[in-house]
Amino acid sequence: MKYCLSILSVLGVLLTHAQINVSGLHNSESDLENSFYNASMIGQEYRTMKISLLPLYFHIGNNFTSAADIYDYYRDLDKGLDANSMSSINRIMKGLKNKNQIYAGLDLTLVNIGFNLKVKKKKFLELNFAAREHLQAGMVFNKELLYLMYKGNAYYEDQTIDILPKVNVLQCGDFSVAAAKEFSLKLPFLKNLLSVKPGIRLRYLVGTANLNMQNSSLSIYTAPEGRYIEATLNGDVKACGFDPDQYKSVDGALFKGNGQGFGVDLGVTVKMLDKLEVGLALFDNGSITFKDNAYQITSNETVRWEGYDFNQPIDTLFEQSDLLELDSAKTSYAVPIGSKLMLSGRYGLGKEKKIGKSQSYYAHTISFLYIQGFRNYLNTTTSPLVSLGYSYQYRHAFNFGINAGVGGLTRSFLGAHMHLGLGPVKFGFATNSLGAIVNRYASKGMDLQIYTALSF
Amino acid sequence: MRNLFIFFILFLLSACGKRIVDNTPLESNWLLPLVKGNISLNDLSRLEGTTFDYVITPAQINQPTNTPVSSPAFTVDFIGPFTVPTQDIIKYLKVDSIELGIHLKNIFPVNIQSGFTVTLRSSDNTASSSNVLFSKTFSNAIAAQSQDSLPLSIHNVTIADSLYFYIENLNIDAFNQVVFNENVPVQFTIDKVRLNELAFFPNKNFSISDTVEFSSGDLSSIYDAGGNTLADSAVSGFLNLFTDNGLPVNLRMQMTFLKNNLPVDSVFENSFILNGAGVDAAGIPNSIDAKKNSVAIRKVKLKNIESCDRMIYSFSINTDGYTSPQVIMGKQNKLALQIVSDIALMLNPFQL
Repeated sequence: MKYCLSILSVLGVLLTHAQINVSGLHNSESDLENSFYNASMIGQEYRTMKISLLPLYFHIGNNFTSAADIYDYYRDLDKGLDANSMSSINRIMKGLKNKNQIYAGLDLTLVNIGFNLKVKKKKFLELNFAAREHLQAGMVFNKELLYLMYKGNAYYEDQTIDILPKVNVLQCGDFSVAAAKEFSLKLPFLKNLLSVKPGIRLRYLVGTANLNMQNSSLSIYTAPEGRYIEATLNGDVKACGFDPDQYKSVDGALFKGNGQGFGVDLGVTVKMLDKLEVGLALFDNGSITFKDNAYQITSNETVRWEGYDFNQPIDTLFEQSDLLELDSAKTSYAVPIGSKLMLSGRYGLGKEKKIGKSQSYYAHTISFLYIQGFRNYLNTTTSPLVSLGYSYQYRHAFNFGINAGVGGLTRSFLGAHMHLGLGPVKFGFATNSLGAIVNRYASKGMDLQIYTALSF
Repeated sequence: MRNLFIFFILFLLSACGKRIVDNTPLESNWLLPLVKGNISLNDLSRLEGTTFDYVITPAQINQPTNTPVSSPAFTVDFIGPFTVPTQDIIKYLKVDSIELGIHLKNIFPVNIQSGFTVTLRSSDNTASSSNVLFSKTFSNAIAAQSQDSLPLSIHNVTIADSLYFYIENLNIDAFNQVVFNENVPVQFTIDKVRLNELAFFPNKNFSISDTVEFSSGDLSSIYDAGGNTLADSAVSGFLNLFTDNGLPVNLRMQMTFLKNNLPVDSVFENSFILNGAGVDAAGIPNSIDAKKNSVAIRKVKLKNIESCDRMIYSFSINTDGYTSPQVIMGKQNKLALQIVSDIALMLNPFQL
C-alpha cells in the first residue's frame, strides 16, 4: 500500500504549482508569452518585433497535500516510527478533496515571433507566429481511494465508490498564428473613447501521444454487514502513440503525428479608463483527433465475492483468470485541450510615463486575474482561481512584481516575477511557488517560467 | 500603496500558522466475506467412502474351528444378518441410488462357487420375501485364499430405521481334511449415495463429540497485525456467521480448547445454536430460520487458543420442538451459511 501512496507522492513532491502561469500574467513585459492565454496581448511590450528564445514553462502540483507533508511521510518511513507518529499521514488524509488532482506539464516554445505591422508609422495590425510543444500528464482520483486503503471498506458499507485513478496524458505540437487589432469605440454613456483590442489565435495541433481514462471507473460496493463485495470495472481507455516502433521513421512526423486538430483562442483587451485595462479571453478551445496508432481498450465486468464457496473444490479458488476480459480495438477519437475563461485587469498607479513616441508604462501597477476551467482534465480545473498582484516597472529595463492568489489546483499561492531588459535583450522568470518559503505545509506545487527574448 | 502592503503582510502572516500535530491512529475497519456454502441432503454424499466391516465365522457355515474336517459340496441358506447401524432419529430415507462395494477375502480353505446372492432386507427375517429391499446374484466364484470385490447398485428404495444385509445360497465346494481357524472379513464400502428424502422422528437427538490433537500454530501475526496495540481484553473484531436454515432440524456446535486436559477457552461463548426451519402439519419445511451469530475476536482468546494442545468438538442435531409425526428433509431444503469478518485494525501505515 505504501507504494501506491509513494507514486502519488512522488508526483506531488516534484513541486509545482498551478496549471496556468499566473505570475507571468502579472508581468506586462512578457505579454507576448502571455498572449497564449489572451490573444489580444500581442504587440504590446515591443515596438516592432519580439523574438522569444526557447522560453519554457514547467509546472507541477496537486490539490490535496504539500511537499512538506510528503517529506515528513518519507522521513517517518525511514525512521520506522511506530503508530504514535501519525501526523504526516493524518494531514494527507485530512487534506483529501472529493476530487484529487495531480498534474505536471511542460510548455516549451520553439518559435515565438511577434511583430507589429505599421502603416504610416502607426500600428495597423499586430501579428504573432508560434510553434510550441506541450506535454501534460494528470491524474484525478476520488478521496475514497485512499480512504478505502487506510480506513477499510466498512467505512463505505452499503455505498458504491469509484476508486479508479483517471490518468490522462497529452503530448502535442501547437502551431499557431495570432492577430490583434486595436480600435477606438465611442459609447454614448462614456465621455472618453474606449480603446478595444480584439485578438484571435488559430492553432493547428499535432497530437503525438495521448492516454485518456476520463470515462473509466472501478466501482466497489460493500453490501450491508459485508455480505458481499462487488467490483465493477467500466474500462474505457483510449491510448495513442505509446508504441516505440512507430518512431523509428520520422518522415513527416512533425506536422502529422498520430492525430491532428484545430483550436482557437479568443481574447479582447479594453482600456476603459486612462489607467484601467481589462481583458477577457476564452482560450484552449479545440480538440485533437487521434487516428493513427490509436486504440480503445474497453471492459465491462462485474465480480462479486461472497467468500470461498466450500461446496466447490478448493483448487477452484484461484481459477479466476477469466474474470477480467479486456477488449482492444483500433479506433479514432477526439480529445479536448481544455477550455478556460480568463478575466484580467491592470490598473496603473501614478502618472503614465512615456517611452518614445508610441509606448508608455506605469511605474506601479495593480493587476487582477480570474481564471475558470470547465472540467478537471490535464491543465484544466473547475476550481476558479483568483490572483491579485503588484508590479514595479522602470521603462523596459526592469519589472518586478509579487502576487497572491487562491483557488485553482493548489488552492493558495504566492508568486513573483522579474524582468530584466538590456537593450534588445530581455530576460525574465516567474514562479508561483513562494508560498513554500512562508509555510512549507501550505505549498502544494511549484512552477517556473523562464524566458529570453530579443525585442526591437 | 500602503493598503496593498498591508494586504501582503496579512497574507504572509496568515500562512505562518503552526503545523498541527495529530497522531490519532488510523482505525481501519474491514468487512470481508470469508466462506460461504450450502449444506443439504446432497451433502450426505459425504458419506461416500464410509465402510462397514463384518466377518463370516466358520460356525456360520457350520464348520468347527481348529479341527481337520471333510465334506461334500453343500449350500448355506444364508449368512447374516449383517446389521447396518442406523440412528434412532431417522424415521426413513428414500434412496435414489447407492453404489456399494462388497470386498470379500476368502480366507477359508475352501472354494466358494458362483451363484450366491447378496440381499438387503428391512427386517432380520429371511423367510419373508416382503422385507427384501434389494437382492443380486453374483456369477463370481471365489477360490480359497483369494479375494474379490463385488459392485452393488441399489436404486429407488425406502429404508426405514432397520437395515440388514444377508449373503444367501452360498455354495461351498467339497473339501477334504481342511482346518478352519480364521474368520472371513467382509467389508461394505459406500461408493456413491444419492438420497431423495430423509425423514426424522420429532424430539430426537443425534450427537457427535470427539477429542483430537490440536495445534493453532503462531497466531501472533493475527493479533499483532498492523502494530495492533489493543489491550488483551479489547475486541478487535467479529466473525459474523449468517445462516438461513431451511433444514427441519436444530443444530448445535461447539469447539472447546484444552491445555493439559483442562478447558481453557472455546470458539463460542455459548454453543452455536441454529433453530430448524418451520414445518407444516406433514413435517415439510415451509419457512427459513435466518440468524446471525457473532464471535468476538479478542486478543486474549487467540492467545488462549494458541496455548492449547487438544480440542473437543461437539456437533449435534435434534428435532426438539417439532410436533408433526416426522420432519422431512427434501433435496431442495438447505442450510445456507456464510462467515464474514468484521475486523478493526489500528493501522500503522509505516508497516504496510
